[in-house]
Amino acid sequence: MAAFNLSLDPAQIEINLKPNAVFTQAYNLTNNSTGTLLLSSSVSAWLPSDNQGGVVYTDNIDSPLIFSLSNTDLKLGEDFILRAGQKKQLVLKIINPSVENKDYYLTFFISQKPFTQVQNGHQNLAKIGSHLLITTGQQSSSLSNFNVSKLNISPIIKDIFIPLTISGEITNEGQHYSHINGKLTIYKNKEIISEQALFPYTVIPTNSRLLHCVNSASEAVPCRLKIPIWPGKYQAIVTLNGNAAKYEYPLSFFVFPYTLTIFILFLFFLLTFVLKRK
Amino acid sequence: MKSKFIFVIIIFSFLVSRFPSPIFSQHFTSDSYIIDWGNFNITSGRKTSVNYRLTDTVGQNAPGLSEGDNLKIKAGFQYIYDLSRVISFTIDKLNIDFGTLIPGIGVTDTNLLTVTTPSGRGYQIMAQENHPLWINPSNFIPNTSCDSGNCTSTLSAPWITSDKYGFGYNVTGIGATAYFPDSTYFRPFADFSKNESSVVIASEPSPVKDRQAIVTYRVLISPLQGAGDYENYITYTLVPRY
Repeated sequence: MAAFNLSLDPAQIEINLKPNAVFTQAYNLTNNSTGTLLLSSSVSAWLPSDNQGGVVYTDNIDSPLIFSLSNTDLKLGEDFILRAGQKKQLVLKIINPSVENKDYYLTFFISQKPFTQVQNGHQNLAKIGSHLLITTGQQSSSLSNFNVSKLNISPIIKDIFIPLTISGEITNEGQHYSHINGKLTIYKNKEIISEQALFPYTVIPTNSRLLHCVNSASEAVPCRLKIPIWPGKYQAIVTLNGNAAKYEYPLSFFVFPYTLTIFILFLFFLLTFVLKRK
Repeated sequence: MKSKFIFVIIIFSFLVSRFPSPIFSQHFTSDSYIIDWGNFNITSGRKTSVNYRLTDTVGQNAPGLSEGDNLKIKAGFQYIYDLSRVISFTIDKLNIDFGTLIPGIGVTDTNLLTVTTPSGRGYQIMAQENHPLWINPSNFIPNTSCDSGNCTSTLSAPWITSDKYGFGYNVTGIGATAYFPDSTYFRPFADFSKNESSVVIASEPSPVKDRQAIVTYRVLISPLQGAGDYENYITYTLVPRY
């Protein structure tokens, strides 16, 4: 059994707060450890660090939002005890006193604290966080403004027996975070060969996410065209819906039976060689 | 009377068999299996328009979860997107005790970190020490700079020799390969006392269940290191990828 085993639900919320709006979110915290944990809660601001959803924390929360806990027995930042196997619900209350039209990216942290008050304590500690993506302002919903770049189909040699991977990057050129809503369609002779929904990643303004498709388990997977692929000319189109303008990004490629041709040529030369020797 | 009753039953059975109610079924085959479903959705899928996206399932007789010894049926729209929202973090032990250190002999200990993330999200684990291993700020074991003196809190490098003293760590596991190419690569912890921020030690872009990472701590002291209890603590932070 583990010394520290904590779970937090939900792991992320995305909300729209109008001026003077009050929002509450219940977080379920479960201590699955063998022992009692001394914990506290806090909110920290982050910035995106890459195109795969990574974050980097900033020193200060530059936001007018007011955070508190609605729990009667607990304030934000106050220590509390969670015994082994115990569950606790923390209700985070967020007030938006501002009229500003802006996005805030934060994490609601539950931090373990050492039981000892000794400054030179040596007990390792753990924190677990849940992201808050908050848009403030009058606008209740806004259209996204995505742009697709670095569209590529690999490998360079497109053979009938080699699966093709379609990659790319989707950049949010709007003012607010938004979800990718689109599809990848592969055409051959104007007929749809494959149609895959794009994974609805959240994209932060001026940042990008890699283009991925949704599999049957609703998880993100690389967009692939399965083998065997019939020879010929194909067109791949990435369509983004819900954008300020409807965008389609076409990409053409040609599939040729290279391996089959090489194999036949090899057989032909082998046969010619054998017959010549006879 | 009895014969009349039997006659009525036979007529009724005949009529029922002549006017069956429609049954919706599905037949799936593969090289290894044939699956016949007594009932399945009449229709389901994603419907999109310029402004809306709708997913639906229609026609299942008994929506919900049904489980048998060898099967599990998830009927109804709520089971298509079986979303887990929970993120969980496990650390096997919180106290790392290197025991009595001998100059020139590296001592190691390990921590096992286990992560489960919600549907659709990866994770990142970050780490930071409160200060170097010390008795007090002027009596400390330095953080390692590795064999070539080039590793930092964000860059790992090989550390296998026994004459480069210090304290550092390595992480192995699927999520750690981008930060530590193999088990000989170490780096010092980001030092909170020097205002260094937590650094990522393992991460993955895709959801994981019970993903494990092994942190190996290594400490190597010089013959000049003073005797005493050297202590610090490491804080591990787990957040989902947004």
